[in-house]
Amino acid sequence: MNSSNTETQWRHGRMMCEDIIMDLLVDYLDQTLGDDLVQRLEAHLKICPPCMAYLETYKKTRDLAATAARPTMPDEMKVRLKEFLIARLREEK
Amino acid sequence: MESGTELSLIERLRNGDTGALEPLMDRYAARVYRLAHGITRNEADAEEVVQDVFMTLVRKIHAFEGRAALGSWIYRVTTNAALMKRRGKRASVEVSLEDYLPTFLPDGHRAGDQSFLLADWSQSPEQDLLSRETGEVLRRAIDELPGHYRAVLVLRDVEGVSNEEAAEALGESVSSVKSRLHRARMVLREELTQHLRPG
Repeated sequence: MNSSNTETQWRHGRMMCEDIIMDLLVDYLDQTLGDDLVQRLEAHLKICPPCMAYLETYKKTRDLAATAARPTMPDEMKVRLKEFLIARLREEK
Repeated sequence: MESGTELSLIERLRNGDTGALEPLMDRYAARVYRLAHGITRNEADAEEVVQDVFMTLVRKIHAFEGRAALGSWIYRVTTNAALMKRRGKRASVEVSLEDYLPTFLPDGHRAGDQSFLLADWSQSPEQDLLSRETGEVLRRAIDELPGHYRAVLVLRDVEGVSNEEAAEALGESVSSVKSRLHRARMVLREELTQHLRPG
């Protein structure tokens, strides 16, 4: 996915759902699309409820995954780590 | 921790002062664990990876040239170690992504049942989005992602690293990182939509 190639490709073509969902979504959310593409994408979203639904659920998925995959290192593991490293370093001296 | 402080800790470690390890562990151990657990999906494996990473840090500190930030170097070592740990287990768990990606009609519109296409659960009550059932659906979906896709998802969406830093950690191109990230998110979105849509 290269924003400048994408912009060249879509300068003249009609933006379809497949283009947005498969090619442009990541760059759109990363805010790395050019202004022209952003305007065309957002104009499409205004008239396409399925694409708007896809975008909103995609964003929510990203946010939910960020918290679901965020385990905390147990305190006892931190203690074991220090003990492990001290012991191994002593052995290696 | 300021970069100057971190550099002095690295120098101390290079000079054999293992006392410099503890402040580095305080700074990085939780991050290493999160990334390791995100990839291996297993607490015991993640703990082994954390131990391996810090032993590698001690043994190979002389090879760390300091051109990249220490954090980037640690992410790379962690990602490699965790993917190696996961390698033997992948066939039994991981799914084919193609089954979960959207399909399209010749006219470029998404294919599928209209009610599914219009399903927007993003504004559902928090109690539904944060329920135990939804959490389990999401965790299972993450578990079933192929290792490299899960690694990208954790690096980008959990750890918040840039595309460039994720690419460096994985030894891949930025375009590969973006492609894998997008496909991983689409798979999770599909699973959540199946679970959360009304009816």
